[in-house]
Amino acid sequence: MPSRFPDLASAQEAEILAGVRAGGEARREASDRLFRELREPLHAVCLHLTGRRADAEDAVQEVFVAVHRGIPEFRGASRLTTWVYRIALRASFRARARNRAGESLDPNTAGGGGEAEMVSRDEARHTVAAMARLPAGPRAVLSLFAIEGLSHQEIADILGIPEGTVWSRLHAARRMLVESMGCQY
Amino acid sequence: MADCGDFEIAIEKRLHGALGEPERAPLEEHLANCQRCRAYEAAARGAEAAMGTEARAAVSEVDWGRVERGIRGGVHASLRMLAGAVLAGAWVALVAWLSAPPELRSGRMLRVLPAMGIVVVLVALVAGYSARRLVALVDRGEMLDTYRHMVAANLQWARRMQWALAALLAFFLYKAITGQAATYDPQVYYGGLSLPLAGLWVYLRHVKVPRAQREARDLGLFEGAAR
Repeated sequence: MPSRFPDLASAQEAEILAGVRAGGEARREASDRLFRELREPLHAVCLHLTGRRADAEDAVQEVFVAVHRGIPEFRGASRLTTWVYRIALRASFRARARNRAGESLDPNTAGGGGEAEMVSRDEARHTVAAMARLPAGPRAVLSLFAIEGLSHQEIADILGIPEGTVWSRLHAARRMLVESMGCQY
Repeated sequence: MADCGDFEIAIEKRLHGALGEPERAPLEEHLANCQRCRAYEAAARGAEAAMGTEARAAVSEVDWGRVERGIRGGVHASLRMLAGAVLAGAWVALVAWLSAPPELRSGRMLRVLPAMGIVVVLVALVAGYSARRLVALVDRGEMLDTYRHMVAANLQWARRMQWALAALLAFFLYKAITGQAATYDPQVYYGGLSLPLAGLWVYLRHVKVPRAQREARDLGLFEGAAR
């Protein structure tokens, strides 16, 4: 199943934007709220795009710094979350590029739970490693579809492509991922 | 639907809750008879589940306080850039001061002050422009194409700057070695100016350009960028 993270409704987005435009304390509170609401799904997207936890955290930081700078000029041409996810893609590509070629992914972290959970974690790491070998485009579409709460229309908006194209992009990316994992189907 | 490729797209739609009612029955019928598409569906479900598992595990270990501190620090990055420009200007002033004989120092300082001010203003404008450009560019067109153009432009700019700095550095070193002047010491003046230029060149050569090349390669830009 895709990652389950809280979604930010349009009404909440409007409240946040109103707070930002009010300035002062209201702006600080609105920025904090935006951070709390979006930090986890953004982290997931950044993790899948960068392939490294440290890079994902750096990318999340960069996203919110850019949002802080740009949000007063945000005119609402798209949903606020769409705009933030677009910034997240860029920040993730940049964070990934800071690593020199050949640097490995995160080392295996000790996880709790029984054997089944360890196997699950190993599979998860194998998938993330395979993702990291894909080019930026397929990684982007797979990462966004892995977040529950983003519809295919929103993903099309984030990527700036027609709705009909988003499925063929996902299909092509999935095939690349499966090949990268060394699976046959 | 004509072939397995079409059914695989239908599988993706079903996996993400976007499969229309008229497509359901043909897909079920096809899956009952196609081992390949069943394997595709299993692979797709497995990959989504694995990505979710890793994301949840990673997010549970994030130190959000550290991230917030990083954001607060990043918000002031433009101010740090401006402070760096002021420091660079102060370095130029110091070099001008040290390279002149005591009786001419004030006059020489007055001559370099406008140049220092121009540098600081330019850096402030560049910092503000780059922040606004990022915001504006992410709000239009196809995402990856927009990024590709940005990265290609950045790479080209960094390479040109690298060569321009190398030429300027060579000129300054040449002047430091061969220059003669009555009103200032060329060794101190050009040697002092060469130091920050050399630091900037090293940054471009070993950090900025390789980073832009890696990003270009990741985005599938022209092959030349990968080399």
